[in-house]
Amino acid sequence: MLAQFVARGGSADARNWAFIWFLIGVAVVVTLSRTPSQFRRHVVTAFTFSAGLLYVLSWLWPKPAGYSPSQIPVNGVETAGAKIAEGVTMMGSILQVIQGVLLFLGVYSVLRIHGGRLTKMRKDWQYSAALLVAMFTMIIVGYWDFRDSRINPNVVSAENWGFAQYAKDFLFDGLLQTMDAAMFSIIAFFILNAAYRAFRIRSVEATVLLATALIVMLALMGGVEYASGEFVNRVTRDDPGHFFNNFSLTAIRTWIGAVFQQPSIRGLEWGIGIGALSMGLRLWLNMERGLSS
Amino acid sequence: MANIPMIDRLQRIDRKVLYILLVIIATVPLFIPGTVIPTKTGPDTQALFIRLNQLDENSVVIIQSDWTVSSRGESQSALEALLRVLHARNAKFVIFSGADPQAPQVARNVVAQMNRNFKKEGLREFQPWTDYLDLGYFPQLESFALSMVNDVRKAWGVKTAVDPADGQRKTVFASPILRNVKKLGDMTLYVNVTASGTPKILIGRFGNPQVIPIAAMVTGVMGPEHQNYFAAKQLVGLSVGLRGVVELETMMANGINYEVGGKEAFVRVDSFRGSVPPVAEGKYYRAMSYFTSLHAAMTLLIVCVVLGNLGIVSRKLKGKAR
Repeated sequence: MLAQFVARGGSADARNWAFIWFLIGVAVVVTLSRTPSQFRRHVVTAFTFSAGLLYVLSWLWPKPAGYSPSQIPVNGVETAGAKIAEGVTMMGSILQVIQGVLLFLGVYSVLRIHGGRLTKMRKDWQYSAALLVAMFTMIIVGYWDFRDSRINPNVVSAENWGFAQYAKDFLFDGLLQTMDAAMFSIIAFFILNAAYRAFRIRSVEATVLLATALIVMLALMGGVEYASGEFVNRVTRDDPGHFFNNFSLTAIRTWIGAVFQQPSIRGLEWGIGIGALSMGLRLWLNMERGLSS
Repeated sequence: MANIPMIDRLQRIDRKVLYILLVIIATVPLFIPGTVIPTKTGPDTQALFIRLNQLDENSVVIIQSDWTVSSRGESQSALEALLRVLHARNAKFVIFSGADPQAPQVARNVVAQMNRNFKKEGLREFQPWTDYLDLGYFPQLESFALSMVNDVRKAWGVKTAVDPADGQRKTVFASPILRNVKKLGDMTLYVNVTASGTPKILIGRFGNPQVIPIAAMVTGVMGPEHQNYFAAKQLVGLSVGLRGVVELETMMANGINYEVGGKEAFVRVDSFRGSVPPVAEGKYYRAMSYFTSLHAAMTLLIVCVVLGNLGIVSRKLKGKAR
């Protein structure tokens, strides 16, 4: 069925099945929402455990070296491994669908909050109106452009653009992306201000930190680092064994990175990894009760 | 104000003055094109460049583009440099995003921009279906990466593209690029151009030994943590921030161990036997055009830090003198 859907770019048959599955999904959600919370918790726990089990098994189950999905399993272990791999792929697709549904949930939430504020004309309703107008304009124009590109693939090329493509280009590239870039560039101003006002050598630790930061910043400037290297080469007369080579900006930066920075990050990530593992286990085994309990 | 000592006045510069200085210093170099700042190349970018130059026209490179315009200065330069090398090597590529729904459109714009540049330069353009495939966006990178490892044909199987031969939309595995691909390892290289920690997700899911070599082009902020993965050889190449892309462009302009007219090679890598010719001799691209701005902004930052601390240093010196 999936292959047919792909091959025909969305056959009527596949669309019918997609609709049926959508209805089944809605029915399941409605049924779950009307069942007692005690029962619902069991369903969620069972689903979480089964989904997690697939990933745990996929990690632990032995795989033949150089495994390929097209190869035929030769024994029970390989057959089970192939089934687990299939299950993981299927679960990946389910998670992608769930992510898509979450997007709808987000849209619903925005609509509920801002729609309510707009209809009741509460404080700052104008901002809600702007948000909803922007959201719907982007959705309509984006879908229009997507539909055009499906009907006529040549529309992708700028010479064949129609209204929808110009509108999408204006909204996405002209407005959204530009505003995104502008927002991020503001950080430069905050960093500069903070560097001037807050980065003070009030203690020995702060002095060491400042000196290290200055060296790393200087080393990021390729021209400065190159000039320092040339200076060292001149002093050492290109002798790679000369002691003074240790004082080039490159050598100092590499030393700071290899001896302090990277091991610290390794330590941090090790801790984060252990924390994530323990949290993952708690979620998987339904031991995580949340803040409310 | 006239009675305030100079050292104290330097401590009280209005922030608006700093902001105006930053705007001027960061933007003026952008209007002076062609400035080339000589830069040393590091082992991480050298490894990436060497790996990219081992590609041939049968190679298929997976590009996972996980950035939006908030990191355009670094990430767009990185993607453009990567596409330049792939273009020169005539390698094929598959491009998609796994971290941000906006990222596919941003990447599409870069490919379109590159095609316009190639057209201007009289070079062939990237053709969809035969040179590259655009797979769009895959949410849930953690599970998606595992799905790719288990069965890439199923993981990407729902994606379609238009076959220009008959104008029909077909599965991407019908294209000449992916026709012979059965598993992830049938492709040559996986490059993640990213503004976040996505290479770690790939490294974790692709196992050890990895099913496909992974390289990363990350932003400066993400650089230090990814250096660990390069040191552990879990990344076969790494470019960090604008500086990393400038290093790549330096190698694209000068090659590696490549001597012209008896002059010593500008980029010498003693651990690499042989030489790599330049992609386009003496030619630098986007990252170098931003590099002067980076130098200027960094200089201003350092000056500000020094000015901010002058008062403390002077007070400490006075205290000692007493």
